[in-house]
Amino acid sequence: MPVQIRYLAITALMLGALGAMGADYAPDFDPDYRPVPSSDEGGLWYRVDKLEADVRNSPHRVRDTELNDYLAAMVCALAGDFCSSIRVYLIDNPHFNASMAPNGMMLVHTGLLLRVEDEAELAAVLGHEIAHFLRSHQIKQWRNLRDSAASAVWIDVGLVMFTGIYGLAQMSTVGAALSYNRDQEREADLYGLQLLAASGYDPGAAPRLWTAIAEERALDASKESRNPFFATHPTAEDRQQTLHRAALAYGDHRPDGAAGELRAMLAPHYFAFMRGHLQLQEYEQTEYLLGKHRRLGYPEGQVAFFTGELHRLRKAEGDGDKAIAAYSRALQLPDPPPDAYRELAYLKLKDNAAPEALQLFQRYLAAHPDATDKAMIDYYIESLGTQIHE
Amino acid sequence: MNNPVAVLLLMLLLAGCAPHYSLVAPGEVSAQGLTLELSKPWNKSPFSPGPRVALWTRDGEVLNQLFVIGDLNEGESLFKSPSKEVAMPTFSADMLPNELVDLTVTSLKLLYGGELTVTASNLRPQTVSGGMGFRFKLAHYTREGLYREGDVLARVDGDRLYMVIFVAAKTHYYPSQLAEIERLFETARITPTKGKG
Amino acid sequence: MHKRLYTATGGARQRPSTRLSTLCALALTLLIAGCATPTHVKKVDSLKGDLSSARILLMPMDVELSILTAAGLLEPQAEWTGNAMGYMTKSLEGNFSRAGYDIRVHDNNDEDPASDLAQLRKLHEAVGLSVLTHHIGPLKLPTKKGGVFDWTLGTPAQQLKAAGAADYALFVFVRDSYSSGGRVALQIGMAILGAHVPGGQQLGFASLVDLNTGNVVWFNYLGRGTGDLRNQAAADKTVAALLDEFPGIHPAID
Repeated sequence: MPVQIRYLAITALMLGALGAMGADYAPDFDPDYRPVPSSDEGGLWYRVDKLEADVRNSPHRVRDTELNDYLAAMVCALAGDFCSSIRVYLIDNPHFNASMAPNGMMLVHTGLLLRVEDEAELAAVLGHEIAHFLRSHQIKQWRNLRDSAASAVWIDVGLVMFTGIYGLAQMSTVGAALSYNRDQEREADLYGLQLLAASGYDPGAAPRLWTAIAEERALDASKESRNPFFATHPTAEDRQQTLHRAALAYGDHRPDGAAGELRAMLAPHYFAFMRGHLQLQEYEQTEYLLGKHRRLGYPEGQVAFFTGELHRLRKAEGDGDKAIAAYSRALQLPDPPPDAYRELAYLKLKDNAAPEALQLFQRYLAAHPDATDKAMIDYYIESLGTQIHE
Repeated sequence: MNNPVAVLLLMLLLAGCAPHYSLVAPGEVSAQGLTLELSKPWNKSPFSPGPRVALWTRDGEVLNQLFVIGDLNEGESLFKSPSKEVAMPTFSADMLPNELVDLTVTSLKLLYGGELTVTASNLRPQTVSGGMGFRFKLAHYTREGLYREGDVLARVDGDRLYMVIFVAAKTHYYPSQLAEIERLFETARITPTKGKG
Repeated sequence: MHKRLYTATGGARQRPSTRLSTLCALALTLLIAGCATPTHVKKVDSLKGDLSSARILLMPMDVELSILTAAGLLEPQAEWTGNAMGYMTKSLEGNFSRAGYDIRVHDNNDEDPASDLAQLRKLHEAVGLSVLTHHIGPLKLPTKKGGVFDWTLGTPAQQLKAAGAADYALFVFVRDSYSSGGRVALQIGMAILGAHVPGGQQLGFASLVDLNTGNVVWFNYLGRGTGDLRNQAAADKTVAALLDEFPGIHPAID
């Protein structure tokens, strides 16, 4: 167990004694519960068990041991007695999402990891999901859907709440049919706070996180939610206020949110996770995120590079110059991604700045001799070289 | 079914007007402003992904696909977007090879539902119809987890884009057709359709 | 395969589906609804040579039993499905060993999705889908004219030969649904009014692959409105239908 989590566990014992105020929630089933196979719930578990087998084997699962162990340890600390009932899977997907299935399968998207400022905020989301699980909200909503006469839709029953993962055979193709209701959301928020505080985290992280997420979403130009998390979690207007008030009631907690540890854990994966985000073409949100990453101290060269990518791909007024500026800045910083040389080279090429382009292409290959596009770059180096000497 | 197109097709089928695959015979074939030399026959799909694309298959679209794209003008996208919410990226005549790779990768990703990761590699120059074009490889997993590989040939001629994309299951299908595709790429000629098309 | 066969219009906003799954859904719906281009081809048999004591590897079956509710929802039934797989395995093993074949069950370990064996199984899923869509279904491929059955996994299938010490691999796929009480009432009510409401259906196929060449040498498709897999006797009948006219197989059904 990482040192950090061990420290939290000890703190939890201490803070438990200080007493959390507010409603005291408890799970509504036992850790070793399994439904009778012939029951309706048994059928749902069976489907999810099969889905979990697909998740385990999915090419979209991030298998890095350190990251997975880190998440599992955090979930374990939050879930207490239910630690062994939950299995966490990290999915390569740039959307903000975390979900739990009634059989204890938890899915965390890499997009979530990119959006939290510190461990406390990450724990806030995971705690919220664990709370839904411990209060059996999924199975209750699933039963409501079945019974409702209005539910004449073609769905993979119950699974739409748990998906947002890609490359899986049993994935549902329908959106928000099975969202949680407002009471369940409130319960998950408050119970989540309770779990958060019991593990020694600052409960104030919850309202902070949701505020930041709301800010980011307000920038969504399309106003269409393609995000499965928000399709299933309706957000009440007064949610931030409720959470803020409830958090205050908890009193003392560990002051820092272990931001440094989270960053260190994510830094080696930052490039791969961020690249997926640009493919979404959600440029306003990407800009907001990159601003946050700059502030949080993610690898500077990479943040500058992705800023360049954002401007290059967005192509709004003035973006061309901003892209050049961002890539150039990246190249002044320690450890820029080699791709920065190449992208800047191409932009210079378009600007007919041949000597600069040539030099950048050469530096790209020097930094990345195994580049798969080496043949293309060599072609440009050669033709630019000829051009310059004419 | 969860797609109005499919419902329409079902109605058409029940009414007796069935969509069907048509034969593309071996020999010289013109499609979308490209003339290709085919050594073997293909099946043309009735489900075309866009007005600038002819989609062919040999054994079924999950197993192998050949997209023939041509006469694509400035501002047009490779494929028609399958959903109103998501816009397809568009072509500009001043795009360099790296941008055209991005265009292809993002377009295919969105065509296949927006939820896949398509990766490109091995970008290199290649003569296409007597002029400077280029070539690159693709790879992706389908939603069901089948791994597919692809090969793309592209050239911008005048202000128009011409492209041939071959994608097939990595196990058996891609390697067994590669030689045929190589010949097809080498002998492809651009024979543009007049006017804005 | 895992596509749902039933649909009703609904208000929930839907995620864009891939064209390929639409194609599959279309083809399967047509097959079940009986609107497919009339074809008597539901089986292919290119088995050659002496098959006695051939070693057949039974691949992990893809089977699912569900209840079809009045609202058109498919609710998978865990216990039924688990039992059905047991009944079918027993029935298959019995039939094949009585015919003198050496049948063995493939070890189902969780595999790396990128492994050759995992990809081979995914390829078979894709080939099975193509056969259903283009050979048995209405969307014929002109290049396979004259109803030539030409589908293969290619020589990579030899890896299964080595891994399983077998000459052939048998793949079985079944989706079986049963009308709930509510749906049966609906069917009767609608029938009185003169409208047909589809009840439970059984869709499946059995496919035999020659592990030397990778060719699908025997394929049988089953699509009907009757059929049961919820007890051994009924499952024996379903397996008999799946193995209809498999060389040497004479299912013992009471």
